[in-house]
Amino acid sequence: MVRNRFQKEMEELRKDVRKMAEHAKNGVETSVLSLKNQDVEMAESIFAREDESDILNLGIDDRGMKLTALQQPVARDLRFISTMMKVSDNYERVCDLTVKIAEITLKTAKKPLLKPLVDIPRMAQTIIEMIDINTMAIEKWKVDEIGVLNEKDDLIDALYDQVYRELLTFMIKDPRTIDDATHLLFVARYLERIGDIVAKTGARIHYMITGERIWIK
Amino acid sequence: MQEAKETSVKISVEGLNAWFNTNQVLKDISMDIAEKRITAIIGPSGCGKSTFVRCLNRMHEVVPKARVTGRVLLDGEDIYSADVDPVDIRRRVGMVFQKPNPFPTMSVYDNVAAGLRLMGVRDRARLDRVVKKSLEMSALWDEVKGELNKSGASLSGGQQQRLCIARALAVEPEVILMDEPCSALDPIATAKIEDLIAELKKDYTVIIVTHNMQQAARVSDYTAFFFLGELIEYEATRELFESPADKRTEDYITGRFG
Amino acid sequence: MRKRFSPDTMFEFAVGAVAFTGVILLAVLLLGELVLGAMPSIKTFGVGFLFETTWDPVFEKFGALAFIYGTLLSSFLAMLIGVPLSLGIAIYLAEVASSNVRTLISPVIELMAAIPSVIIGLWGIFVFAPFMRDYIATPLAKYLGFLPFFSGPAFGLSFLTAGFILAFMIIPIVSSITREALLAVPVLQKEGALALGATRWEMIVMTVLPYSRAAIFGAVIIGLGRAIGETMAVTMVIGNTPQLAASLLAPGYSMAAVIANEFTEATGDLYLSALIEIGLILFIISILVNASSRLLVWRYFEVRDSK
Repeated sequence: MVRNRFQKEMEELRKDVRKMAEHAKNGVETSVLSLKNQDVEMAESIFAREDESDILNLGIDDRGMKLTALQQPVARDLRFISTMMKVSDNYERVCDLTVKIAEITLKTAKKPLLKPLVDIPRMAQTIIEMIDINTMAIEKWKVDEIGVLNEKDDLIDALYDQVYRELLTFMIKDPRTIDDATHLLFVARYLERIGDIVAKTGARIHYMITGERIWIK
Repeated sequence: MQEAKETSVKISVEGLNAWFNTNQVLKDISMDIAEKRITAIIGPSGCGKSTFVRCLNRMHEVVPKARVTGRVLLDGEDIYSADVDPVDIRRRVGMVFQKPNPFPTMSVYDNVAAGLRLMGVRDRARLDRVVKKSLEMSALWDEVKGELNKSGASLSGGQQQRLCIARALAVEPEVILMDEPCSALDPIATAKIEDLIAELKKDYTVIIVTHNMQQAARVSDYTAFFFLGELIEYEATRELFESPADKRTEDYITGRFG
Repeated sequence: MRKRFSPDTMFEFAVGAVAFTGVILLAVLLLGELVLGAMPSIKTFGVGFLFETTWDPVFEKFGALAFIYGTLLSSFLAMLIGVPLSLGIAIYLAEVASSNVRTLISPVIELMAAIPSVIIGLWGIFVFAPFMRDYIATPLAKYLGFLPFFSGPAFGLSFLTAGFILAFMIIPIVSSITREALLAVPVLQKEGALALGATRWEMIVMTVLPYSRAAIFGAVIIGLGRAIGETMAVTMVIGNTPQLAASLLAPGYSMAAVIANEFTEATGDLYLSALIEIGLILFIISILVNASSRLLVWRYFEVRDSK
């Protein structure tokens, strides 16, 4: 087959980006779980893995630059390489945000949580589903499911509003809860941001596959 | 093709077919070529791109047993109609060839002036003026101004090609056809000519055949992809190289075949 | 050790030996023989031999001028008549005729060169000369007789007739070489002219002819070489009269003709020696003309191929 080496390198790129997706998913799941269970060890494991994703992202960027410089990619190849680099960057930012969530776990570990977490884990779960949709789209090179990201992102926004109102109520009723409530609010904020990032990533993947630009919210 | 709406159509090709003897090389080509823009024609070897371009200045029929049907409208008038003299067309539609072909028995000056002399121009002052202007336009004046009497063949390859461009420009054509003008040149000479082509856009309609896709991408406003004698895709260069519509186009430009 | 007697070196040696003996040695020996044989005449008449018109075997007074004049004049006429015709034929075949016509006619013309000179001579005596006398020489003498070229009586066997016959004989080779030279002009050059807006004819004048001018010139000189050395046909139609006539319609004599005609009858050593000296002069002129033409034509095709 023509351009064999080139094809192989692009396959490597795809695999590495899949790994980044795993990192992101893992980060979201583990950090929120550690918060819910107030598991400090679990939170610390996230710090340990942070470097891995950083290095992986740099590797992806490097390989992408090399392929662009040396192989003169056009059309589909060009869209693929540039999108993979963007997707990897996006997932790296997701990982950074999950590290922040893990830090909050440590901060709130000393005393029991303000309230048992329900909505926040739901937000995390939705995010994981969104990342899976993105990954599937890349694997299958099909955009049918990308539309679903819209609803899921709306769901995350709705859940965020809910959490916000709930925590606000807590803080108004009892000012001593402001500290704890604020931490939880931050976590919800981070998850909402992550949702946005993953949704935008889906839009970019759509462009990669069809050449058409869309907006997800 | 939004850009095309801002400029008029210089050449309109309608149902062009071409044969070498019984072998059909072009099949029902129809396309509009924008005025004062650069249009690139790409495609694998044998796809008919050179033949297509040679039909635009009626050079195809010079080959024995070559045949053409269809219409080619230059500013609305069919160049193949019976009352049109091919010699006139070739003055309005100039051509630069793949291999530089200056006339070796003529000096640099005479080479550039050749076309004008064919038109009957004898006035020395006018010839001097046009020769200087043409050599300046093809970025060769500074290099040859002291030695206009040197033989045309004594220049380097890149200079010879620029000389041929100057020669073509001297008769003030409306359209310039370039058949792989850089394929015999080194990268620096190629870069100079690509810069030159970009400049030419201001005053001329340029059609360039190239097998070098990066060149087409660098230089042209519109790109047409030919394959097996058919026009497969034709649109703004940016579109074709970023998101081509036809799979054959994509396979060709990504190097999956060709 | 091995290199000295390897098959390659032996082959080179053998081939070189053949080339050397077969050609160069022969030419050198020939030249030597001519000089030897001409020696008595050279000693007797000196340089004046070249400028003396008298050719008197009885009183043993010999001079080559009339023959040199005859050879040069008839060759010049052959060029005048033959070269334009050859050029025209070559241009027609190379640029105008379809390839079918060209493939048909070219070999026919080339075959004309194969016609034995003596046959052409016979045709000349019995057909062409009378025709020349009646339909060309007579009217010329009548209407243009005031010109020195056409003064005097109109003979059938004359310089002019010889010129025509020689033209007929050189056309095959001159037109063939010219034709090949024209065909060798790169298509790229011709298309360059056409693309600039040249008509067919303008293209020929602008690119084809200049490009091949060296070869054309060479072809012309090859023709000249043939004309100078041509013996039989000229002998039969030139009139065999050693005189320095201004009129083309008068009979004359050429170097080759006099040698062919009088060699067998040459009584006396001085007579023979004078004829041999004429042969020497002819030899030298021929060699010079032929060598320069070969060089020109060879160089043209060399240079063209290297581009």
